[in-house]
Amino acid sequence: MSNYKSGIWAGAVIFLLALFLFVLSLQYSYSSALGPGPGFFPTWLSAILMALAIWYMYDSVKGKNASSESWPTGRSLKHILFIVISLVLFVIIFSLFGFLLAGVIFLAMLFYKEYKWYTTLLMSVGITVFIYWLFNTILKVYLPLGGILF
Amino acid sequence: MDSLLLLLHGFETAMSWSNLLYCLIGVMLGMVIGVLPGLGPVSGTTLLIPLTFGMEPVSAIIMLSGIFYGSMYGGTITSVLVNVPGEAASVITCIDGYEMTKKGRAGVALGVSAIGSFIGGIVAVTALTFVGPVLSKFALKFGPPEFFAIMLLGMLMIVALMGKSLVRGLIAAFLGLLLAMVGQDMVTGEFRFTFGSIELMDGIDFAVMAMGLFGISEILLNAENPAKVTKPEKVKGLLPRRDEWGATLKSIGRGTGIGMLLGVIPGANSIIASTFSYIVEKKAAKDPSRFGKGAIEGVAGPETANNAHSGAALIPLFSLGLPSSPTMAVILGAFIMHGLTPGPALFTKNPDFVWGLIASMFIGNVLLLIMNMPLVGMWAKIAMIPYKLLFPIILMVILVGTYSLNGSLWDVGMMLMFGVIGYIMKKLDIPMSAMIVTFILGSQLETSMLQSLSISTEGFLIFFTEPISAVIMGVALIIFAISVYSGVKNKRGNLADDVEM
Repeated sequence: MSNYKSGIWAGAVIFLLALFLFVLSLQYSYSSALGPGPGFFPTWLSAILMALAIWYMYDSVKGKNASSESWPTGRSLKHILFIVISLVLFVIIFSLFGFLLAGVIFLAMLFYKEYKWYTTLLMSVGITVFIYWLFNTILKVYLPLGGILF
Repeated sequence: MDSLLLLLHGFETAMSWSNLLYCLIGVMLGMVIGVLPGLGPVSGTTLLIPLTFGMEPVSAIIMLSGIFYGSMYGGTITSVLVNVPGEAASVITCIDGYEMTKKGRAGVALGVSAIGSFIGGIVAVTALTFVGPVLSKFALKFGPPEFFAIMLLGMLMIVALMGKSLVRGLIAAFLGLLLAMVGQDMVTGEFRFTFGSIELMDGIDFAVMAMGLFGISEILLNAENPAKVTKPEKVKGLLPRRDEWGATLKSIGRGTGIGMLLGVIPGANSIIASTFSYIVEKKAAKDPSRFGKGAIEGVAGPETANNAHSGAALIPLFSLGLPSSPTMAVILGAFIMHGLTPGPALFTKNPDFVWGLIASMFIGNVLLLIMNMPLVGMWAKIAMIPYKLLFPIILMVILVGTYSLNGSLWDVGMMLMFGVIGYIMKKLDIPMSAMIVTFILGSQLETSMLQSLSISTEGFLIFFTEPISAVIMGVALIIFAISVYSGVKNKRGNLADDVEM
C-alpha cells in the first residue's frame, strides 16, 4: 500500500469516526444554565475533526507531506501479526484459565522460535512464576490463578 | 533564600533510607532503559507506573523521575560504544561519539558525556529550585481564563513543533481531546461516549492508554527492524586530554543553556535540544571539519543539552501543571494517580513532596555520575542482553501491569487496542505525543473554559479582555499562524520528527 493511499484511507476512517461522534454529541445538551453544556465541547471538537480529516485526505490526494514510514510486508508483517495474536491469546487464556497458564503459554509462544524446547519451557515457567511472586508479594497485586473454567 | 531552607528540608525527606533506595532503583532502571535500544523513556516510565501503586506518593514520583532523567544518561552509552542510540535524544551522539570509539577514545567520550550530563542536570534542577516557586507564585493569581489560555498555548506548541505535517498534528490533538471527553462530564454529570458500558463511565484510564500507545507499539515497531548490538570494546581512560578541557567545558556550558531554554518550551523535545546543540557546536568551532570525525565538543554539547532539557522540562510541569512532552504527560498522570495535582498550588499545598522530589534529583544526579564514571563498563554489558529474550518479558510486564491497575481484563484489551492504534499512527506519522498531551489536559481544558464562560459577561471575549490571558492567546495565535504558514510553504524542518520523549 502506498503512503498516499494509506493517508486517504486513514482520513476516511477518521472522518467517519468524527461524524459518528458528532451525531452522538448532538444528543447531549448544548447549553446549560451557566453557559455551554456538556454537548458544547464534543460537538465542536468532532466538527473540527471532520474538517481536519477532509484536509488530511486532500493533502494525501495531492501527495503532500506523506509519511516516510513504510508498511511492513512479508516476514516482518508475519512477525508483527504473530505478536498481536499471542497478546490476544494471553487475554483469552487469562480469562478462561487464570494467569499462570496464560503467562506460560504466552512466553512459550514467543520464545519457541528462538530457543530449544527445554530452554523455552524452563524460561517461560520461571519468568511467569517470578512475575506472579513479584506482583503478589512485593507489589501486593492479586493475580488470579484460576479463570472462568476452573 | 526561602527556597534554600525549603530545599534543605526537602533533603530530609529525600535522605530517608527508603527514599534513597527508591531514588537508586529509579536511576538504575532509568540507566537500563536508556542502555537498552528499543525501550525509551516514555515507554519505560509508563511501564513502571503500576509498580509504584503500593508506594507513598513521594517515593513513587522520586522513582519515576529517576527513571526519566536516568535514561538520558544511559542512552549515551550504546550510542558511543556500538553506534546504536539507546534512546532518541542520543542519536546525534552517535556521529562523533562512535568516531571517537573507533579512534580508541570511547572512555573519553563517555567521560565527558557523564560530566556534561551531570553539570547540565544539576544546573537545570537548581533552576527548578529557584524559578519553580517564583513562577508558581505568579501563576497562583491565574484564574480559569489564564489557565485555559496557557493550556491552549501548550497544546498548540506541541502540535506546531512535533510531526512533519500540521494537519496530522491537529488530528492527533483533537483525537486526544475527544478521548478525554469519554466518561462522566465534570460539570453536569452527564455520561458522554460511554455506549452504555460500565467500564467507560470513569473515562479512559491514562495509564492504559499510555502503555498501549508507547509500550506495545514500540515493541511492534522494533519487531520490524530489530537493532543489532555488536560486542562493545573495553572502555579505558575517562578524562579528556589537558588541552581539550577548555573547549569541552565551553560546549558543556552552551549545551546547558540550550537544553534549559528548550526544556521549558512545550513541544521542543530533547532531540531538538541535542540536535540544536550539535549545530551550535559546529558553528562555534574554529575548525568545523573535525565534526563527524570524533570531535569531543560534538559529544559534550548534545549530551549536556539533553540532560539539562530533562531537568528544565519539570519547571512548567511543577509550576503550571503543563506537561511539555509525552514523558512529562506520563509523570503528570502518575501525579494524578497518587492524588496530587501539579500546578501552582503544588508548592504551597504539598511542600514536603515537591522539595523532597527536587532534593532527590540532586542526589540522583550524583548517583548517576558515580554509575557512569567508574562503572560504565558494566552498563555496556546490559546492552548485550538479546532482544529476543527481552521483548517477551517486556510485553509480559506491560500486560500484568495493565491488569494490576484495576484488576480488569477489560483494561488489558483496551490497552492492546491502543497498542495497535499507536502502531498505525506511527506508520501514518500522526504524532502520538500530541494525542497523549491533549488527552491528559482535555478535561481541565474543558472545565477551565466552562468556568471562564460562566464568570464572563461578554462570552468568549473574556480570553482577550483579561490582560494576561490576552497576551498568552496572542502568542498562541501567532505560533499557530506561523506553523500554518510554514505548512503551506512546505518548510517544516526535519527537526520536527515525532520523537516520543
